[in-house]
Amino acid sequence: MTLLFHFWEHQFWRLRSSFRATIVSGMVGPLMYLLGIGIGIGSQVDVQAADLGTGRYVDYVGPGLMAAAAMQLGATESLWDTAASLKWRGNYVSAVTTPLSTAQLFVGHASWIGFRALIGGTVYLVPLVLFGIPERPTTVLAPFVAALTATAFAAPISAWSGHVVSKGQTEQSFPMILRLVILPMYLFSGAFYPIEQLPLLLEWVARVLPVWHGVELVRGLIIDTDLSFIGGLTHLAVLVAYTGLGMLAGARTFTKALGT
Amino acid sequence: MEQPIAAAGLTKTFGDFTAVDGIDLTIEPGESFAMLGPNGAGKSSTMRMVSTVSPITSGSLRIFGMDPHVDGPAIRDRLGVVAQENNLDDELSVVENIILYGRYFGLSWKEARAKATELLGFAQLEDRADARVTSLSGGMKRRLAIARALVNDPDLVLLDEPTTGLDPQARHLLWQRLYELKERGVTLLLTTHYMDEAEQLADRLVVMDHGTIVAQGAPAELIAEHVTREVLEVRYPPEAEIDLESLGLRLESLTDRILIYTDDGEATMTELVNSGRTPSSSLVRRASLEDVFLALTGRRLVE
Repeated sequence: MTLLFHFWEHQFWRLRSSFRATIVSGMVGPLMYLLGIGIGIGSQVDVQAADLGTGRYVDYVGPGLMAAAAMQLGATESLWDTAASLKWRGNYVSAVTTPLSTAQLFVGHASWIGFRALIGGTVYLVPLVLFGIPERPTTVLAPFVAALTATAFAAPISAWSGHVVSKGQTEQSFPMILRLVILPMYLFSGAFYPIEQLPLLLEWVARVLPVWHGVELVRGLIIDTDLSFIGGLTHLAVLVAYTGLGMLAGARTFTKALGT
Repeated sequence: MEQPIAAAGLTKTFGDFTAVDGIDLTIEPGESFAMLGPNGAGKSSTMRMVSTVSPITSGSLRIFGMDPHVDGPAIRDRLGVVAQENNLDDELSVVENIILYGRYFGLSWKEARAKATELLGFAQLEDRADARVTSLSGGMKRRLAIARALVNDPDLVLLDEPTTGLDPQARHLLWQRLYELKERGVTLLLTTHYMDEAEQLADRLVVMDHGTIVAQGAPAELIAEHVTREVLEVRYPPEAEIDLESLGLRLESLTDRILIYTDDGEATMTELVNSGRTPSSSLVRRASLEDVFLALTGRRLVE
């Protein structure tokens, strides 16, 4: 645990010069969507007819965007950046010559991305409050779910990057992951409209993948929805399961990538 | 102190390729030990197994009496690792590279900072403490990598090709630093394909080729055992047909010159001149580990 702390400290120190920029850009992205889609497209949406269960469209979209942005962070940080750290950057390759183990390194790596999503989610609460969206005190828990949504993507995708590096493969799969997996997931995440609107097959794909669970849980914590306690726990369990399985896989692939 | 390294039948394979082929190796505390050999001889693979990041395929390996597979963290706590690549953190300043690395070894900020200042002095980088790593020269980066590896006062320092790619001046400065470590009684294990480096720094060395150890001993012992005291290097015009076999000495024909192994280079030269075999150019020098390698494998170290 102390070693994990030193890993986070190391990562924090590396990023401290750009941390403010990270926070600003982490807020600007979702804020743009909040304005463009929540307000812009929202003006064209008949909320009563759409049966979204909220007063305004922006109340529906706003919370969901927190989880969707966390997913994007979790995915993008796990690709080129992770591969570079495993290959030529001095941070990971040298860290495993200390008492830190490769498994601890992976846990530190994934949780660090989760921590950044936590910061991003917390900062994003500001525009949410400015738009008058939060209805429940549990809103303060939403950034933690955003962090878990980020790790549910960061752990498995970083594990894949570790595999790619350990096999000496090129990174040609990375843009494919973003275009063919993450972008569709963003669109079919339930952030913009209920996934029940999707064709049945796509709806079930959305239910199996983690982002919808993050979106539903974050929304349920911020505004009044029909989400039950058990339903909330189920969403949480799915996010924990993706994170956990990703960690098990990543501990193996990082070990191979850093030590053959 | 326990034996820093004890390996028996140590083997590392990658698929069908055998990088290290059953080597036996022991290193005593305070010893400065070199692995000499060409690229691909298995030096770096051995180094990576000793540093516990690469699992062994078969045989046995003990570092400070511990099993690297089981006790990796406890072993790494006592190692200083300077890999072939510097692996410095470009996002951190020179001094931060040492401090944040030192924190993994349980140093407090205060201790890590004091240690970093001391090590920057050792590495002659005091005036670059707050510089970005990217602004350092190749030799400075190498010294920083070595300084960082010393932050935990290691009992064993691993140096994989410490001076490869550096200019002669930077190499000599680095040798001086490593010599100082050796004088302090730090156990060193280094790999190199430069024979002068091994002669300068090693108390004892192994010559490796194709994953096996082909000779071992002190540099002077190896020279005495495998080659003569001196080497006479001679060149003849390409069309000349000169018979040197009748000298009765060991010869090595290289592409551009012939090496004649002799205990008295001047005398052999005189003999050549007197018998009408005057070369177009000649040089008498002391035999080196390069000659040992050539004698053992029929190939040169650095092609």
